Amino acid sequence: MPAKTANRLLKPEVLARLGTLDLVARTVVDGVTTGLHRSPHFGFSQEFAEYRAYNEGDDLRYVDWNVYARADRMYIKRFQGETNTAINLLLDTSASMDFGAPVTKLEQAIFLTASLAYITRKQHDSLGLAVFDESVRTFQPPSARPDSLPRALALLENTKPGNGTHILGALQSLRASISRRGLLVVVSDLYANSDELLAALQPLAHAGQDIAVFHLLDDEEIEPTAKTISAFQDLETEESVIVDPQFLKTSYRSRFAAHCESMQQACRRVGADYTRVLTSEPLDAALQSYMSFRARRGR
Amino acid sequence: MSLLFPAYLLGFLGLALPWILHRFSDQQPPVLLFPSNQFLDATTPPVSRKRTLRYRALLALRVLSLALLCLLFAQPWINRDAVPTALQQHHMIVLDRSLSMRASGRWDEAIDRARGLIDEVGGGSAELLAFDRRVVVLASTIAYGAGESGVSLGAALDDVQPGFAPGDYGSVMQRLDRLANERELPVKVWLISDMQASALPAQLNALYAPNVAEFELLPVEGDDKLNVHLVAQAQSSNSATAQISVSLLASRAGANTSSEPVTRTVQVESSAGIIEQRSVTLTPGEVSAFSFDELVIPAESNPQFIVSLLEPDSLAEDNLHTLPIVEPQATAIVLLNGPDTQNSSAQVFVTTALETDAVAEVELLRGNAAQVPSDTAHLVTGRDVSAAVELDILQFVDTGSNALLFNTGSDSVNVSTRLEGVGVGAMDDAHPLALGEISWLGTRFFDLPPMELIDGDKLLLATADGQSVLVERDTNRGRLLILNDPLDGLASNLPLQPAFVALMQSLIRYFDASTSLPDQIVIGERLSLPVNAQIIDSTGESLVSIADRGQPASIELSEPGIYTVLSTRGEQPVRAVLEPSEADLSTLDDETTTQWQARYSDDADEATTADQAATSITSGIDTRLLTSGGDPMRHAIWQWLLPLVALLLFAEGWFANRRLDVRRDGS
Repeated sequence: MPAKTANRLLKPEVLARLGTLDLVARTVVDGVTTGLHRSPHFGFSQEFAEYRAYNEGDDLRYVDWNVYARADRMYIKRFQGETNTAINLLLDTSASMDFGAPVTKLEQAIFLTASLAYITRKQHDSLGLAVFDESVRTFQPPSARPDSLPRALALLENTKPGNGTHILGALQSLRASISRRGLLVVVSDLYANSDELLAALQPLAHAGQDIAVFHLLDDEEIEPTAKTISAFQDLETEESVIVDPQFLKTSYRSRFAAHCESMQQACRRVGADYTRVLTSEPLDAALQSYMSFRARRGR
Repeated sequence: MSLLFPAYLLGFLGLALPWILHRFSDQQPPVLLFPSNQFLDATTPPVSRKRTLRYRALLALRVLSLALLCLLFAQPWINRDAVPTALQQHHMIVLDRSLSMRASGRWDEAIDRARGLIDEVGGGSAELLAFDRRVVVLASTIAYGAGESGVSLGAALDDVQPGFAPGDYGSVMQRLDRLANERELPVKVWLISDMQASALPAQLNALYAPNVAEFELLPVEGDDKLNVHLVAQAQSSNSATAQISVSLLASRAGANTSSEPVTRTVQVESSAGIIEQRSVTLTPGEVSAFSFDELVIPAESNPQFIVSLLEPDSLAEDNLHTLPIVEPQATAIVLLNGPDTQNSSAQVFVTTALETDAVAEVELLRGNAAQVPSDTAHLVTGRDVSAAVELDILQFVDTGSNALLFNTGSDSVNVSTRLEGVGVGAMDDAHPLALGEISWLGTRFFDLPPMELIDGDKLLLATADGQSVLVERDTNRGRLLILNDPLDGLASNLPLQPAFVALMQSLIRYFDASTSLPDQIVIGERLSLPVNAQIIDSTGESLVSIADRGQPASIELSEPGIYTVLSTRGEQPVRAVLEPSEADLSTLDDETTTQWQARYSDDADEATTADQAATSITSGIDTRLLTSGGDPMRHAIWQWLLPLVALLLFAEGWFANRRLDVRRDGS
């Protein structure tokens, strides 16, 4: 079963052992696309890209009948996608992302971002990448040049956890740099106010950007398992709070669930696609969600 | 329950330590990293109930372990039984039968008390003992059966009589301690004695018998309180007249300690009648000595004088002495002309030196040592000692006799060394010959014969250049001395010096000490007898059986009087006399008696402390150890505390380790 094989390979702990992000991204994306009977990634533009031998099930509208007349063989014409579509990947590298098991949220986010970058370049879209925490640490403008993917992967390879999170400020500073309409992918643990997130995404949505939000979470932060009274030290502020385990079982879980729900509501209000990504789960679900999102948007 | 070392209870202060540690531990919860504290509320107070309870269990284990450890060091003990009944005890009725108990009224009172005790004990476990210097078990219910105890003890009491030996409370108590240790039941000792002060040991700690559970002193006082002890000795230097030395000691017993002088008359008589009387005024506690001089010795064989006190006193046994006339006799020594021809100079030198001051009488004999008469005790002969000593000499010495060999091994004279010679070098000052007291000034050794020392040889005298002069060879019984000098006046000038006479006389004293019998012996001490000797008491009865005569033996003379020792060397009288200190009837003061008995009472600690303050003799002894050791009435609890502490420490370790495991898992 190819799909199952792909799922097994895409487990986060397996990806962590693959070594380079290029290999990680290739493995992830190939695993996802192998299971699809029909590739939705070609043929959205009128610009010829390549010929491919006809396979049973291919759409007959794309058969090049002229070639069939000359060579008595059926070839499918493939067209270049929207090459002017700019896809900006925004990666949250705040200190809170350095948490989780078997891989940290940041590692999972990097795998996801690399996979998205790989897909982007595979579709010949312009690839832009921004790394932010309290502010934008690095920004690679969208580019369709062949070296855009290696540069992005190199940037991701060298990404380390930073300080606090300030999504509003980061997106505001990026707004000026992202002028072209395109796709904006935010990968973050979203430790922010829902209103703040709404305020950050709304201007971008109004500017015509399609927005996809990947919410990175770890099981331990959803349902902490501490059984004794413990001092919880904030990774971003380094402040400690002594917490009763009974509180973690009751109030905390409800508060956190409400927070996730508010984030999802904020995304829905601006038309953004919201996908929850757990560090313990394979990336298939997240990438499938991304593919379907792009299919819905016709890109 | 009581504590042996209550100061260790200060260790309870250490219980605060685990409490502080547990408090400190509660204030330091484990730190967990978390993405954001945005949704967390701090708990108040920051201690969870469950955690505190678990820590308190560990704290309780630790506190209990420490507390028991402190208690263990304090060594608690409990009384095994509050008051043991008479049937739960073994009773030792100990009767003093020393000489002082012969004083008027004492023995009868002691017997009455012992009989009363036997009736009181009834059918219980008991035994009757008597003591002077030694303890003798007279009767015991262990041997006769509990039902017949009264009869057997009473019968033994009818037979026992006071002796003449002195008493010693120290040796008695130590012996009773060993006997008590062998008994199964707790032992109660009833000591019936006249509480004589002279029987008190020098070390008062010897009075304490830790294996004796209870101890009771039953003093007897008697009637008369005054005793005068007579000591007399006769000596003659000319076989015609004698001199009798007399000393008198008066003592008072009991509460009457007045020093009022008393007058006593000493009378000397012989077979011819009363010779002389003398009245003496005595002060109790002081010795008065005088002598009767120029007493004509009666013309009879074995003449004797009888010295007595005319006035009666408490102890009649020390008021009369029968004194044989002792004349100093020259020691018989055989000078043997052995196989090696002896020079005439040596004979002259040796004979002259030995017979100086009539100390010895030399008899010249020719032949070897095997031909010497069997009654010969001392032998002087010249032999070549560069080789092994001849067998006849060794056999002679092995009979218990003594020999002096002078070396005739070489008669060559080295002219070069003769001119100067060497003086006396190293000598053994500690040897009974007392060589250090001899003046060796002018003694020079020119050319001594060669002599090899063998294993066991003791070098007594050497020349300044290290040559052996006088050596004592190791033998089984007798004494064998080797003088490495031919005594010819050429090898050395020793025979010509006054030091030679002194050396020979010292030699005679040394030889005599091993073979002669003492003139008198104190009752209670043992008399060493030579081989094949017999001793006959004043009634003519032999005291040594035939079976015991083949080997050297010692005998304890139990009654005063004149004994005759018959041996191969003749007949010699030995006088058995009373111990003068035993005739001193002074009794212990009340304080000493109280302290003695207080060691066995419940407040032994306080009593022994008072004892230590009063007497410096006991100051080096830890009274706590004394009171704790082996007391059958006290039972130490540490046997139960120790495993309990071990169990608690094990539980604490297991519990603490389990806690650590939980923490390591992050729970």
